[in-house]
Amino acid sequence: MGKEVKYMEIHKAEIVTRVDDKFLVLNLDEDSLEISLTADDPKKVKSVFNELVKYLKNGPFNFEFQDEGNDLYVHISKEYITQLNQELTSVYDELKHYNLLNEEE
Amino acid sequence: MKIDLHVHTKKTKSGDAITRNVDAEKFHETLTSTDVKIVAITNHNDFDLNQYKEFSEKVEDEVQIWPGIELDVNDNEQRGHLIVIVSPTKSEEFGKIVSEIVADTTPDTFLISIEDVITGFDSLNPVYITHYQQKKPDLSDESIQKIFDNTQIKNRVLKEVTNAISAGIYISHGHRSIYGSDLQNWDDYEQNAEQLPELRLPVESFEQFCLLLEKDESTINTILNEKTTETISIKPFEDDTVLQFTFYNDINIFFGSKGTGKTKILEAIAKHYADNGIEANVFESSSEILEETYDLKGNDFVINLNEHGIGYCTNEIEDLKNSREKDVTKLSSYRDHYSIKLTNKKAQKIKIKDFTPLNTQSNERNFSSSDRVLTKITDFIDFVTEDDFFKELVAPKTYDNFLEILAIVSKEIYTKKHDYFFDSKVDNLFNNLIETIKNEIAKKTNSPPKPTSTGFQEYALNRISIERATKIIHENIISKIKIIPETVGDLGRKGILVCDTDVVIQDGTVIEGDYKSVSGVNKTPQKEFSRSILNILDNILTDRLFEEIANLNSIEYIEEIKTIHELLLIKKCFKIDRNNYKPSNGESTMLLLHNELNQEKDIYILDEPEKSLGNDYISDVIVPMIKDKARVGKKIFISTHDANIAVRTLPYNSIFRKHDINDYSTFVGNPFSNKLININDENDSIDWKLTSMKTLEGGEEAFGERGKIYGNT
Repeated sequence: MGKEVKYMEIHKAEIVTRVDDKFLVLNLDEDSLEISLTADDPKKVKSVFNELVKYLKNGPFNFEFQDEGNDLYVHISKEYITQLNQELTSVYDELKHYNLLNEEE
Repeated sequence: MKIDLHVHTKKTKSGDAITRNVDAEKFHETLTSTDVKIVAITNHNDFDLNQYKEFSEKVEDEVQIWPGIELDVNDNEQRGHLIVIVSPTKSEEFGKIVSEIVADTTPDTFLISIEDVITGFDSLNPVYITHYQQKKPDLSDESIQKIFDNTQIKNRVLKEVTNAISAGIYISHGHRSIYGSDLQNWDDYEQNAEQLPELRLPVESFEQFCLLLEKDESTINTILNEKTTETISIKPFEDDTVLQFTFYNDINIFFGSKGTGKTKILEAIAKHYADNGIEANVFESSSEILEETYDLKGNDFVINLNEHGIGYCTNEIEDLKNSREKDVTKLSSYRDHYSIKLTNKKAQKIKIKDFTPLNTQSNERNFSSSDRVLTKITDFIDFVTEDDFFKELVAPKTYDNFLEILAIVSKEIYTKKHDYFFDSKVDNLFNNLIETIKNEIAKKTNSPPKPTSTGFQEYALNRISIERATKIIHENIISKIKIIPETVGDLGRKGILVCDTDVVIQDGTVIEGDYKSVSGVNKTPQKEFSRSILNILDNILTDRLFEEIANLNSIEYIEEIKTIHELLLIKKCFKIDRNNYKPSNGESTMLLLHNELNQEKDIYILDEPEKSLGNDYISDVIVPMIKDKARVGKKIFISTHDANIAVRTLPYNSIFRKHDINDYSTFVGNPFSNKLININDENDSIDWKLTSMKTLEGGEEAFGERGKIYGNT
C-alpha cells in the first residue's frame, strides 16, 4: 500500500494591533504565531520559522490572509503570506523528500 | 602403514573360535578398510596353500600377504607357541615342509620340538616370533635362547608380547619385540587394527623387512632415499663455519645440549628458504606471543565500517562543523517597499517585478537524482557489454533484447535528466530576471525593491540540511557492530578458546576502561562528540541550535574527528563459553603449536615446541600431527630437548649437536641405522639410541614406553 496523500490544510492569518504595534498573527490549530510588522525582530521571526517547520512535519499547510483594506500593513501582510505560502510548500516537499516528516500516529 | 604378523584365517584347532574363519571376499574387504599393508597368515599348526593363494590373488597389490604358521612347540616339558613366517616367494616350498612336518597329525594333537622347527624351516630364512611372558602360551627364555643358538639368522628372532606398551618396555631392555592381532573374530578386525604397530619406513617386501631387522645400512638408505631430499649449505654462526646438510621431506630433528647452536641453525634454515621465496619462519611460543598473534592490544586492528553497514559520515561531519545560520528577511524591507508609492508609469507597467520567484530546489534535486541513476545504468551497461562470462550465461537473443531494453531505459533517463537540467536553469534565469529588474527599477525610481522571499525557505532548508546530516551521524553512532569471534583452539575439557574482538562506537555512554581507541583519538573528545551530536539533534528547531554546534566545534581535538571511524573503541579478549579466560603458558604454547601445524605450508620449523607442554599432549596430539605432515612429504625441522618428539616421531634425519672442550661437532643419522655419524669424519660414529637417551629429557621413558609410537595410549 502506498503512503496516504496528505491534503493541504489552510490556516488563517490576520493582523492584530496592540497599542502602536501591529502583528501578523499566524493561527495554527491551538497555537498562534506572531510576527511584528512594525519592528524588526529577526530572532523572533526565526523562532516562528522553527515552529512552522515543526508544523510542516505533520503535513502541508498554507495561510489565508483575511484582512481587507488598503492599509500599508495589509499590503505587507498579503505579500508576506503569498511568499510564505510558496516557501512552505517548497519546504514541505523537501521534508517529504528526505523522510523528515513525522510518522503517522 | 601398519603390519600384522599374527593373523588367523581359519579355525584349525577345536579350541579356536569359529569366527576366525574368513573367506577371500571378507578378508579383502576387511583389510582394505584398514591401514594394514602387511599381513602374515599364521593358523594353528596348519598352512593352507590354496587359501593362501586365493587370498593373495584377491588382495593383489593392495596388501602384502606373507605365508606363516603358528606352531605348538614342546621344549623341556613346556608348551609354547612359535610363529614361523617366510617370504611369499617360498610359499610352495613352505607348504610342502608344513605338510611333511604335520604329516598325519591333527592341529589339536600336533607338537614339535625347537630343534625340528629349525631343521625344517631355517633353510627358508624365516622370521621366528615366539610368544613371550604374558603372551600365552609362552616360551621360556631358555627355549628362546635355544632358537638363537640353533638358527643361522639370529636377527630374525622376535618376541611377541600382548600390546604396544609391553613391546616398548621390552625393546628398551634390549628385546626385539612385536605384537600382532592374534585375531579371534573378523568382525572386530577393523577396530583392533588401529592398535597394530606402524612401520615408519615403507617396507616393500619380506626380504626388505628382514634386512631392516638386521639394520642393514644400504637397505635403510635405499628406503630413506626414496624420500625427496635436498642438500643445503648454511652459515648459522657469526664465524664463517659452513654446515652442509641433506634434509628429507620428512622429520629432521636437531638435538643436543643447550648452547650448541640449534636455534641459530634453524634461523639459518628459515633464512635460506625465505631467500628462495619459500614461506619459512621459526616457530617459537610463549603466552606473550599468543597475545601478539591475536593482537590482543588491537594495535593492528583494521576495519571497513561499510562491511558492517555503517557509514563513515565524512561529508556529514564536515558539513555540520561548517554549518552557519541563515538570515531571514527583515520586515522593514517590506515596509520600505510599500511605504513609497511607485509613481513611475513605465515601471508600473513592468509586471515581472511583482512575480514571485520560482522554487529551484525541486528541479535541481531531480536533475541530480536522475544523473545518479543514469550513471548507475551506464555502469551496468558497461558491465553487461564487457563481461564475457555474462555473455556466456545468457542466450544471444536474450542478451540482445536485454541490451535493447537497457538502451531504451538509458535514453529515457537521459532525456528526463536534460529536462530537469533545462528547467532548473530556466528557474534560475527567471529568478535572476525578476531580481535584476526589481533592482534596476529601484535604482531608477529611488524606491526600495520588494523582497522576493520571506527567507523562510532558505532558513528552513538550512535547518533541514543540518537535521539530515546530524541524523545520519547519530544513526551511525548508535549502530552496533557484532562481536567478531576468532577460534583460537581447543582446550579440551575447558572448552574452545575464542578471541573476541568487541568493537563499539562511542555513543557517549561507553565508560568501561578496558576499551581502547582504535584510531588513537582520545576517549574524552570521542565521548563529547557523540553527546554533542545528541544535543544538536534535540535542538534542530530551537534557538539554541548554533550554540550547540559551537559547543561541538569547541571540543578539544575536534579537528581529529573527521569520520565515525575516529569514534571506534576496541576490546579484545580470550574467552571460553563467553567468560573471560587467560590461557596459561602451557595452554598458549599448545594452541600456538597446534595452529602452526594446522597451517598449510611446505616447511615447518619448530624451535623447542615442547616448551611448557605436557608429555601426554606432545605424544597424543603433537607427535601424530608432525608425523602426518611428514607422511605427506612436508619438510619439518625441529630443535628439541624432548625425547617424545625426537624419538617417538622416528625421524628420517637426526642431527646431533655436540660441544666438548675442544669444539662443536655435528653428527647426522637416524633411528633405523641407530647410528649418528660426524659430518666431518665418517669414522666417528655414535649410537643414536644411547645418545638420545643420554641427551634428551625423558629419554629413557620414551624408549621404555615406546608403545606410544604405535599410537597406542
